[in-house]
Amino acid sequence: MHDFLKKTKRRHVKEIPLAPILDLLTVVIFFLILSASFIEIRQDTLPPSSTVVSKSDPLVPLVIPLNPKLILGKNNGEIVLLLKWFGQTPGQIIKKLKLSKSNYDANLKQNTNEIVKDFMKKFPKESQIQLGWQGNIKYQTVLTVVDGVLTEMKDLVFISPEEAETLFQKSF
Amino acid sequence: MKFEKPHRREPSEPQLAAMIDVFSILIIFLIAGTAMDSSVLEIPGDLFLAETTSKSNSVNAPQVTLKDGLVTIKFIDEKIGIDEIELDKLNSPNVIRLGQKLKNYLNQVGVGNKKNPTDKQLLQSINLVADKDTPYKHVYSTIKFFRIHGFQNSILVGTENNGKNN
Repeated sequence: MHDFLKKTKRRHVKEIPLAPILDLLTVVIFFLILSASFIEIRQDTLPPSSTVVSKSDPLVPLVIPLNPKLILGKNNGEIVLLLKWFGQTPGQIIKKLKLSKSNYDANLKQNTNEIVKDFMKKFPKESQIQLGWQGNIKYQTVLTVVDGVLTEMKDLVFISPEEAETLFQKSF
Repeated sequence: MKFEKPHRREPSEPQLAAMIDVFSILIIFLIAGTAMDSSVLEIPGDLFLAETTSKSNSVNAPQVTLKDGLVTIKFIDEKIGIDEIELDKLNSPNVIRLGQKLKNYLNQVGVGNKKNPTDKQLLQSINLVADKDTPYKHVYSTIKFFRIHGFQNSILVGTENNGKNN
């Protein structure tokens, strides 16, 4: 009998060692989970400042802009929200807040929102507001007030702490 | 008497191939999630973000970190003290050098090249990552400084407040 008629010997196929691969993957998963960040990042945007060019027409009466300003400061240990506007019928709304530490941010946001809503009832066409805080007010409070205003008005401008302080002191 | 040998059950082997499939998919998901996070913002471990109820997700704008009176400008690899960028000190040599670097950055990334307007706007914005205890005067000085140097939008970054205080 010829050699070529012999049954060829089948090579034994080596199995891939799955257990060490599994070990490796488990270790990689641990590293990935430990290095992952699970913080949900959110943002509030301050739009670019814009310049408005207006022409004065001697036949049309000059309209003084309302220029509303919302200022938050502390007076005798109390948190005070002051909304001041100018224009032909200038005025202001003052809210003195007694906020407990446990729900400070939620209450502040709600009060800010209410004061801006009151203003919007009087002047529904107004779309821009200037916001200011005393210089030592913390960023958390800044963001809470911005949250409270943004639901009503999208066009926000920050004013300097010095200007805010001056307006604040003048209003009492 | 003939005793019958009890039939020994074969121990069942775990299905390793299937497990590897599952683990591989898990790894792909984790890598994708991690990469997306790191491309947007890098929050230092000792910085506590302020909480916000805003629903807007973070965007991929250049990051500026403000903590303990130090402004870290990651995209040009610079750090500067907040007292140096106050409005009355903008003529100091260090601030002028930094201003030039910011101007060069803006020229490189978008102003004058053919990127789409949304990209341009984002690249001319800053993601302001500040500690929740940072005083407003520092936040204001930082925003003002970047606005003077051509960054039109300021994005105030916070972490999600899921209403636990409400």
